[in-house]
Amino acid sequence: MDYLLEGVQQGIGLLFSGDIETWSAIAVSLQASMLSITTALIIGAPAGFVLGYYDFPGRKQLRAVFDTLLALPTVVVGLLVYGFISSRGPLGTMELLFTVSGIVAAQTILILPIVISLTASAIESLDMRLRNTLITLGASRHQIVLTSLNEAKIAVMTAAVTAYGRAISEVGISMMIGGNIKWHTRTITTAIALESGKGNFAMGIALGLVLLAIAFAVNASLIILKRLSK
Amino acid sequence: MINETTTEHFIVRDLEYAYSRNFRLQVPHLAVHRGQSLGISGPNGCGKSTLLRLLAFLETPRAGSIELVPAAGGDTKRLHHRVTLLLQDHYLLKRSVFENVAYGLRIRGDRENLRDRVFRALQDSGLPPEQFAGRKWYELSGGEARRVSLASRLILKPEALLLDEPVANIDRESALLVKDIINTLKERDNMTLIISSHDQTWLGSVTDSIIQMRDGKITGFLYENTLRGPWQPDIDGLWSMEVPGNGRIIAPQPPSPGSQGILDPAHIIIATREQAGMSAQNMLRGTVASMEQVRDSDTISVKVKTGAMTFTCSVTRHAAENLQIIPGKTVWLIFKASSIRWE
Repeated sequence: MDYLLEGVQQGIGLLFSGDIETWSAIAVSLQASMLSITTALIIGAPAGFVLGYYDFPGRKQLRAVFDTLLALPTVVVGLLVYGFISSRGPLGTMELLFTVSGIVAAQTILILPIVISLTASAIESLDMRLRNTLITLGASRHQIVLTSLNEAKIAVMTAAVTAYGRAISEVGISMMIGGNIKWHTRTITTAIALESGKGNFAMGIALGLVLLAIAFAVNASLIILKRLSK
Repeated sequence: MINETTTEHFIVRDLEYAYSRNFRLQVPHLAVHRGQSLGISGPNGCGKSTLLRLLAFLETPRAGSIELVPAAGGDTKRLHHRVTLLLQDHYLLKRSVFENVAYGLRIRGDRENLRDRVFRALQDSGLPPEQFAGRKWYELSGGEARRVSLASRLILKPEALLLDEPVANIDRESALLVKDIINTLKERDNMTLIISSHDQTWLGSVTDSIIQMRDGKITGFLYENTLRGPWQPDIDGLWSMEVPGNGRIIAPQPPSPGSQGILDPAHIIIATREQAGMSAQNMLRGTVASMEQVRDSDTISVKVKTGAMTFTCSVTRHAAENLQIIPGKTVWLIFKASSIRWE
C-alpha cells in the first residue's frame, strides 16, 4: 500500500511543480477532447434534433443504429479510422495519422452517436405542445429548432457532458491514431497506460488525479448550469 | 350560403380534414368578417379545436382552402404573423414571464421599447407587470399561466386572435377578466376574434354571433344579440344601458343591474330613414357591416355596427332588396323595449 500513497504524494508534487511532461499530456488531452466535443455538438445536436423531431421513413431504424453505436468500442473506431488515414488508406494523403487532428477526427466519430442519440431522446421528451405554441407565435423553422434545443438544454448539456467524458477518458483511439508520441500526441490516458507499465506510478497517479478533477469540474459546471437555468 | 363582401377576413371553401377514420371535419363555406367576434360552440369532440387549428394554419386541410384576406393596403407577411391561436392546452417556455411575453417580438427582430410593450401586454392581461415579469414559468397558477400565454399573443397585435376554450378550467374571476380583455380587444383594436367554448352563455357575452358544430359540421348559426349592460334605472320604470358612442338602449326592469339582455334578430326592424311617432322605445343609427344569406332559406342576416356594438338583424331577401341595403349604408335599428328578454 505504501507505494500507492507514495505515488499519490509524488503525483501531487509533479502537478504543483509544473512538470512539463505531465502538463504536455494534459494539454494534448484537453485540446483533443475540446475539439472533438465541439465538432460532435455542431454536427450531432442538429442531427439529433432532426431524428427526434421529424417523422420520416427509416427514422426508427436510424435511431436503432445510433442507439447501438452508443456502445462503440474505442479500439474498433481506432482500427477503422486507422485503416482510412494510414498511408495506404483512402484518406492517407491527409496525413492525419499520429496527429492530434487524427485523434480529434476519431474521437468525434466515437462520441457523435452519443450526442445524436441523447439529443434525439431529449427532443422526443419535449412537450408536444411546444411546436404548436412556437408556430402560433410566428417562429420560423430554424427558430423552432433553436428554441426547442434551448427548451431541452439541460438534457442536451447532459448529452454533451456524457460525450465529453467518453472522449477524455478513452485510450484506444489516442493510442492507435495518436501513437502516444511524447510532447505531440501523448494524452493523459495513454501516458497513464505507458507510465504504469513502466512502474512509474507517480506520473500515472498525477494524471489520474487530473482526469478525476476534469470529470468533477465538468459535472460541477453542469450542476451550476442546471441551477442557473431554473 | 354567404354573400361575400369586401369586409371578409377569413374565407373557408369546401374545407375537409380528417385525423381518424371516425372523425371528419367538413365546412363547405364560412366567412368571418374583419373585426367580427365569432363564437364556435358545440359539445366536446365536435371539431371546434380542429376548426380553430385549421384557421390558425396549424394544420393543412385535406381538401378545400382557407383564405386570409389582406386588408386594403395591408401587408401580406407570413400567415403566422397575422393570425395567432391561444391553444386550449397552452404552454409556457421554460423561462421568465417577461421572456415568454417578449418571445414573439424577439423572433421578429422587433426589440423597440420591448420592456414597455411587455409590461403593457401583461397589464392588458390583468397581470401587474412589476409583480409578474420576473417570475419563472413554474411560479404561476393555472389562470395566471393562461393570461401570460394570452399576453404573449396580445403583444404581437395580430390581425386575428383565435382562442380555444379560453375560460376552460379557470376560476370565475379569471373568466370575467378574460371577458373584459376580449371586449377591450373588440372595442379598442377592432381585432377579428374567433373563440371556441362549450359555455354558450359566456360565449354569447363576448361574441357577435355563434356557429354551432356537431360531428365535424356546422349545424347552424346563433344570431341572438347579447346586451351586456350594466343597466341603470331610467324613466317610467324602465331601465337603460349605454351604447358606447351611440346613445342608449331602453329595456324592462332586469333581474339585476348586471343581467344580460337577449334580443332576437327577428325583433329588430331596419329602416333606411329616421322614424318618428312610434311606440318602440329604441332607435339606433348604425352602418351595415356585412350581409349573409342564411343557409337554405330566404333570410338575410344583416350585421349593423352602431357605436361600439354590432347587432345582428334578420330580414327577408325581398325586404333587403326593397330597402337596397348594402354594406356601408346608414340604417336605423328599431325595436321595442319589451322585445328584450333576460338570461
